[in-house]
Amino acid sequence: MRPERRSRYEELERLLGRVERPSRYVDHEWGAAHDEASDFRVCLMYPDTYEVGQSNLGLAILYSVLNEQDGMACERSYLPWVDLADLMREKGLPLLSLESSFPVASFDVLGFSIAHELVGTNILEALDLAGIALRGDERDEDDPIVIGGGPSVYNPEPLAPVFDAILLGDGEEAIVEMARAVRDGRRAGLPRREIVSGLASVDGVYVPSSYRIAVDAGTTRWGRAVPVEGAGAPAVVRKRVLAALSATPAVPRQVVPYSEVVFDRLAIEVLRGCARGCRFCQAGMTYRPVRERPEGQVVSAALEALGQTGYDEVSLTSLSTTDHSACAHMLTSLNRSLEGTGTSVSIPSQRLDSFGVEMAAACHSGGKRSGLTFAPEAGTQRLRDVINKNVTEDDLMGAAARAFGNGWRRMKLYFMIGLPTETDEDVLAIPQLAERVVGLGRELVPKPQRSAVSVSVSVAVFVPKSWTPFQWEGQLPLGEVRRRQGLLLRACRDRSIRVSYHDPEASQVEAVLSRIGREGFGLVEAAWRGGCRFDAWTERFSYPAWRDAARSVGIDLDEVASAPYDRASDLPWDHVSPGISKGFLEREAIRAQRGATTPDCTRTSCTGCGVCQELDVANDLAGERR
Amino acid sequence: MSDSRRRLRVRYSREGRLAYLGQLELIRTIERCVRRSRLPFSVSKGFSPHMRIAYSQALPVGTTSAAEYFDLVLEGPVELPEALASLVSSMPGDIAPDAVGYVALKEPSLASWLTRARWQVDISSEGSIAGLLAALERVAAAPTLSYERAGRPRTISLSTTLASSEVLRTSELEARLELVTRSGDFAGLRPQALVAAAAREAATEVFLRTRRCAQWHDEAGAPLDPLDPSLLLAPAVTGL
Ligand code: SF4
Repeated sequence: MRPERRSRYEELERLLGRVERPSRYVDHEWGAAHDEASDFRVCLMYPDTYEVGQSNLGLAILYSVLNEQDGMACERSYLPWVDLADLMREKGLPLLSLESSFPVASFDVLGFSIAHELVGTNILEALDLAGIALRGDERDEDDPIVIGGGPSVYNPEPLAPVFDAILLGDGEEAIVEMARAVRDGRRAGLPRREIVSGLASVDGVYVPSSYRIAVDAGTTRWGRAVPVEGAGAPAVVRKRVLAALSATPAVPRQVVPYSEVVFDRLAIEVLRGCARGCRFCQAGMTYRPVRERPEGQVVSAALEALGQTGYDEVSLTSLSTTDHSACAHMLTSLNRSLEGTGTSVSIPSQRLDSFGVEMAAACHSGGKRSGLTFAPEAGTQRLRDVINKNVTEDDLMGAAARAFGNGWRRMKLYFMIGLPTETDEDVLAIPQLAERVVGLGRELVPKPQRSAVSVSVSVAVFVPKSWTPFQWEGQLPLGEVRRRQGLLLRACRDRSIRVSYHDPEASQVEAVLSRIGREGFGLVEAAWRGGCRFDAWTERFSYPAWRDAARSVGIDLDEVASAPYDRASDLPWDHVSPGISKGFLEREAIRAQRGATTPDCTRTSCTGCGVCQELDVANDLAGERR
Repeated sequence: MSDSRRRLRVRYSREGRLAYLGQLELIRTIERCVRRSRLPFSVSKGFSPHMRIAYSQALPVGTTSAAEYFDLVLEGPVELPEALASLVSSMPGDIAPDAVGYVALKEPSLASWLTRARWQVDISSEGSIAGLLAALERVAAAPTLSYERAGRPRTISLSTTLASSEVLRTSELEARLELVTRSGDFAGLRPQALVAAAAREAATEVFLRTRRCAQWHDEAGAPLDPLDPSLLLAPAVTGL
């Protein structure tokens, strides 16, 4: 039964004195949308804390778009931290939305952001707190329609039983179409089943219940998803894509948080997509083609939104901001307009060459040089060619020299271990490269500051992702990961170099959930029942709990993470396509083995990934890229 | 130094849900409001430029207030009614500026100058309120108050910090207290800590609504309001 739509804030408030950071739960921020009158209500949920979720640009866009629709109200919800969640259970208080404090279960649509592979237990926790059945096929007629979308939807199968529908790709138009379809279906009195299957008619939407899993000789052990007869669902769902960013507002409606959030500044998406073609990178494959926002739009929107929100920092965000064809000019004009206001401009990550450093320097004119981050990803040129990270050691040294010359003293370098074809020599090259950077710093930095020169090396474990050229690869087994980590650590003797690791066990669970099929839901559910939540928080992640969960459902984590897939097999995610052709991925996999690189199609010509033909779009650049 | 700069003193109330902001959150919020207000605020020079603004003492999380203050340095004079109106329109509803005035640039900082505060505490108790009030009387009469905060033991001198404590009214399960506290370069007293200690002694659970009603400077026994005409360059302008 659908709970009553009334504010439960008073009950919540009685608990706020007993929890960490109560300001997470109070709403009433500048810019929050309050519409208690509209009878069609959507709740968008980022299944993590307020600080993480409120920073998410994608949800902010959808919140904005939905609240512009007549007769529709859209609210936010985040997952209460464990202290409050436990108190709410104890007091029988269900999960509430932020704005109206209505029970989340009283909404018509509940939309989750599927941000990464480890978010599954939090989604189950949210549904359970809300009092909504975890599985789509167990929900009641008037329960909310539960939908998902976001970056991590290109192997949706482990969470497929949870979602009534999953959107692939850009959401700004599709979310409205989905909401309208649900609203019209409810008005017409259609049964839930029909409303759900009808969502498949929205371009880009995958309805898991319209597919069954078939396992045979042509598939991996997890099978392939095939449309249920008579469901009218397509064999392959292609992602939704916006032809141009310029047609969308540069800045969505802004909600200015009180508490310090992860990304506490004005964000402007200056481009979407990246065509550099790093072979391990899922976003680089799934967000194509590249669409740049025109410079004029960025600058005027930034100035206007800064005035409205009161932020003292604006960040030009994207997968690769320094690739924007007008990056340098855009930074100059923003800096000029903001002079003397104490407002700064930032870009999240720099390109690994001296242009990247120039841009970073332009962001910090006069400011302090806290640290500069680069991602060479691999220690040797051979391995960088395998992964198509098109940077040379000269690029890195040139960037480092430029950075030291510009006043930076600390540098952070990101690497991965366990990349396909990696040898001990590649691993050992990581500390050697860091040592050369430190050496260069000691040469270039004036004597009194020389001791401040330091490099921190952060090493992640390679996780094979769907819809990348490495989707057939297995992950390096845990024992071998640890051996290589030890090797790297022992080879690193310079005290100015600090090495830190990602937890290889969390990376293994991430690999399992990236690669497994629909059966993976049993694992996620068992893990949640075993107490797992906030798995992306290092201090909360429990490998023993995941191991126990895996054992209870007969899954061997080591085996699932590390077994390679046959290139001839149908994969568990072949039916949800970002538009890239499988043939292109295979060609790239073969070129990787040979160490042959593939150029960036925004700087040369088309390299045949297939997105533009498949989805009838094209790279949309604002000018010539340098 | 430019002589056109002005120090605007702002009084505001803090209500409802915004009681749950911590001091850093409050500061971040007010600074953003000031930026939105488009007042000609002054920014410090140097490596990390920041707004020239100073606040009265932090309000404990969960407390509302009728009288909080901040001092904002402006690059030039703005008519007071206009300054108040632009602040009001840029603040979220639960932070409500209601009086502004210009004080001399060299006035001491609010946080150290404000040495007295009056608080109202509404208590609802799960057990007998009489028992709680009796315990409170004992706790308040002791020279010191000891409790744990964030896992650390703390001791506050009550003879220094607690100027008076009075029960305004009671019913069976509820009571209203009024406290006056002193502050200075010593650890301050949070009313919540006092009542919590009494609740522990009386072995009952309580739910509190705490409000700071006024803050002032004590000049040898004579109270001086932060917007006292003697401090102002021109009469204050009040809203409402
Ligand atoms: S189809 Fe060609 S031009 Fe379009 S994104 Fe792929 S490689 Fe680039």
